[in-house]
Amino acid sequence: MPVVTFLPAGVSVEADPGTSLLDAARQANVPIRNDCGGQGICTRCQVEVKRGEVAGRGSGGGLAEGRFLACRTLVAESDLEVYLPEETREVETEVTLRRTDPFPADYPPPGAMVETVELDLPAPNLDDNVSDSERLVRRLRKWRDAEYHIPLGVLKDLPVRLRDAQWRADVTVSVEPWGSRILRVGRPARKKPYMVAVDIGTTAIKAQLLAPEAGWVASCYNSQVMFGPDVISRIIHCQRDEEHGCPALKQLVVQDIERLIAALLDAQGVEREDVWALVVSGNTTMIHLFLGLYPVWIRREPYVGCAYLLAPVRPEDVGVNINPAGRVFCLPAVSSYVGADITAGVLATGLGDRKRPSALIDLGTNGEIAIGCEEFLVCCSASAGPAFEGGGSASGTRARPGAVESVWSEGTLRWRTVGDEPPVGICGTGYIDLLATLVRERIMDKTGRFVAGAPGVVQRDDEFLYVLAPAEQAAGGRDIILTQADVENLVRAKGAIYAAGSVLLESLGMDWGDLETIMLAGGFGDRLNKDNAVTIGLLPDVPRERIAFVGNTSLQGAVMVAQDAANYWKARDIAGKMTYFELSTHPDFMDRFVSACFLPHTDTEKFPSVSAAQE
Amino acid sequence: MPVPDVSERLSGAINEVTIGATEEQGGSRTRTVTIGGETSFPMLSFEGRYPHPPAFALQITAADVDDWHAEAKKHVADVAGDLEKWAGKCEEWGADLICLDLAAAHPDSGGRSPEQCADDVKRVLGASGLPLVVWGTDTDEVDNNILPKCTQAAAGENCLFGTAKELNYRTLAASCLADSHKIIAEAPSDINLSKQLHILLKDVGVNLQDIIMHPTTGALGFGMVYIYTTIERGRIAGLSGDTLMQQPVVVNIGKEIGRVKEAVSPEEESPQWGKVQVRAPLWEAATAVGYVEAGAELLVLRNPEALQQAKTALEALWPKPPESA
Repeated sequence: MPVVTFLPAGVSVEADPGTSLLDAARQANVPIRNDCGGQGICTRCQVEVKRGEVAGRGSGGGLAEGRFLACRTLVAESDLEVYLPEETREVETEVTLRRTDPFPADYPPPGAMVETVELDLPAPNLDDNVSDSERLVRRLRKWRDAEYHIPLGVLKDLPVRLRDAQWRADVTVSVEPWGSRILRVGRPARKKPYMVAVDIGTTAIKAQLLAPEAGWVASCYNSQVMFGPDVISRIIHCQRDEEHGCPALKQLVVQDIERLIAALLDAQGVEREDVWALVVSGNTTMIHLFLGLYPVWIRREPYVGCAYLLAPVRPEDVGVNINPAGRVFCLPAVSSYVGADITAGVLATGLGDRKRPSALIDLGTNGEIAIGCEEFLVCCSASAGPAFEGGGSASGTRARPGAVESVWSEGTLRWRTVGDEPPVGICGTGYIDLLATLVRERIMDKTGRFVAGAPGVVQRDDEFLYVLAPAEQAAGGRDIILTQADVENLVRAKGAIYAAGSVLLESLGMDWGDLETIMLAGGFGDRLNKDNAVTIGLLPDVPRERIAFVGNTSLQGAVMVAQDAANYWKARDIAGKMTYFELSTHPDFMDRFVSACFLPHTDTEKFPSVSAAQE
Repeated sequence: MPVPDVSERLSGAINEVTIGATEEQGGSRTRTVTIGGETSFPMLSFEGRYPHPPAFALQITAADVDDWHAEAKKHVADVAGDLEKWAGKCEEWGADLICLDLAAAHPDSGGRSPEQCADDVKRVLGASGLPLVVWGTDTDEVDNNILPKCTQAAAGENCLFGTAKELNYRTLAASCLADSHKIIAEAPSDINLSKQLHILLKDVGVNLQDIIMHPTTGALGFGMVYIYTTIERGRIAGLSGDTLMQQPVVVNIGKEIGRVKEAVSPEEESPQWGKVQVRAPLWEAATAVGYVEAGAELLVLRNPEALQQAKTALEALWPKPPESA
């Protein structure tokens, strides 16, 4: 079997003739940048073949001499040396750690999904000779009335441990849909069980350590990105490769979560054994892939997933390395395209407790909108694509040190980065500012096309693009740019979100103006400029005090569930209460979408403040 | 029992746009043509004002007419190749305007230079007193090359120039502004795209009152239904007060008829369809009348016979002003 060696990493892998270089790289765990899921469209997977013969070659159009598309180039009979140019290697695998407000010393509070209680049990005697397990459950019921289940593993050494603890034992219990599960019985350890809350985004994954005095959020790109930028291309991959597709994607996301947990534990000096629970949020497809559930029917009419309401599972069943007796909880989803992330978001923002209707817009790759109050909850999804999360764009990045997070004009365009570090790319809030500023400065027209000859606009390979920061200022030594294709993706993303919200509101006989608050959620930066979000028509033109930027509510919701089991029930209640609107079959959606694919919107009267500012 | 008044009162009106300038107005046209101004849907005479009947332009071109279908070609055979003669004929045939098609500038059709095109414009203006529509080539690069010269050549004549498109509007908009012409905004069968283009034109300084919109054109039996509903929906929006949809509509019918087999297939091939010399003009006229019913105000035809038929039909159909007025 031919051996393919990837340079400069120097990693080799055996590959059958006929395997694409991209698949070989995936097998070798060598990340190759790729935004289209290996369909030969994005041309980001360019490699150079240094030695050996290959079969096929990505369509020559626009490829430089000696360059091949890894997804379209096949291993032939000979061994190969394949060099990955710098831009092809630009898959960020690095974990970013960010400090947050630390939790109190007595965290997590009583009532968490997993907690340890110290119990005094009466020692058995001839008058009170119930079994050890009944004795334990009897005592636990006095502490908290519930059904208790003692798994065999705990039962086995229960007698020894209770006696070893001299009937004064720490009992660690988890909340389960049917009651409680006893995870551990032993001598008092005076250590609370720690947890990790996880948000699996299509583009980025975030995890927060829930432990005393911990104040860390770790994030990284979802490595599944190498199989395509959105949930659809990943589902297609599962379908195309029935045997390995789904397990491969599952393994990638589990590895990502492993790396995040490792970074969190390392930062806080905590042992894996001390982590007793993962509480996981994310869209329906991401949760499917995390659990290894075959997701293919999510994509086919009538769009049905395997499971939305999931029971807790054992860590080893998922493959995550925390305390083996711990639990993995997944938040409930509503439908195939309205996932646990939106359930978590509704929980975190209290949307369902409000007196007056408000909206929650989750600007993720799989965008979702929920509208409601204490009386009703409705939701829909709108595929926004990864543009605002920095995916699929020439200089896109997630919100991390060095990401351009705000842009404004002082005659010339100015920008600042997260942490004031040299720019590595542009994150979501930076893109919002950049589009708004370019339109305002008339460097771009309202369809998003660059004006030839405007300052900063240059022509490369027959295409206009805007150079925000030249290579000599940038951290990566390459220009930080905005291309016409980037703009199109951003405009489509914001158009889809706005159109979805409009159609959903119309279905309710309401208007944006009827909403008390419009909450924008997402992990695309901390410095949302509301005026700019309205200027590009991402958000409606309502009084700015009604707009609230609420951050990553998916992760916040997961944290809330972890630390208070009451929220676990509430999340299930929310998921059950929410009415899902299918937009793909809605007759007006396409029309609304086209009219929203303009800056700010084709119906200018809907954006009076923007028109007034431009006059 | 009195009959209740069920007529709708609409808040908007279609813009009135005048094409052409007489000597007093700084041009050399013997008359001008005004279209638009309606306050209700077409033909609903009991509901609104219809100050101007639809206007008809006949297409002329310096390009070869080999690709014209036979029934249209036979009328122009004598004058094809002589723009001035052809232009003079148009008035005789009953046209309200002349539409000079610049297809000859396209590299595939002879590649006439910008100067030659500008000269064509001048010669047509000299040969006829009718207001002039000048239609570009559908190729952005060629249009951007020739149209500025042509607008300049027609400065003062208040012509109608087209077409501006979403991807290519700046050059033509700037030339029309500089030389005071009206402009055709072309957006393929979509109200939103059309409105977006009007906003873009407005942003570069074009007055919304100076725009005529072209939703693109399909002949009867060849996509007319799509354009018909687009015009209709746009009209509903405009009459309801949307200033971005209050522009009159032009359709360029003549060049579409040749695509329709039923209209031009010769008798020996399709005897069941009857005489082609009846069929072809009727098809063009029927398409034109259909578009007027949708709301179009300016119709560009090729076949003079079709023009006469359509005009005759519309004289009977077009609402007369109320007696009391």
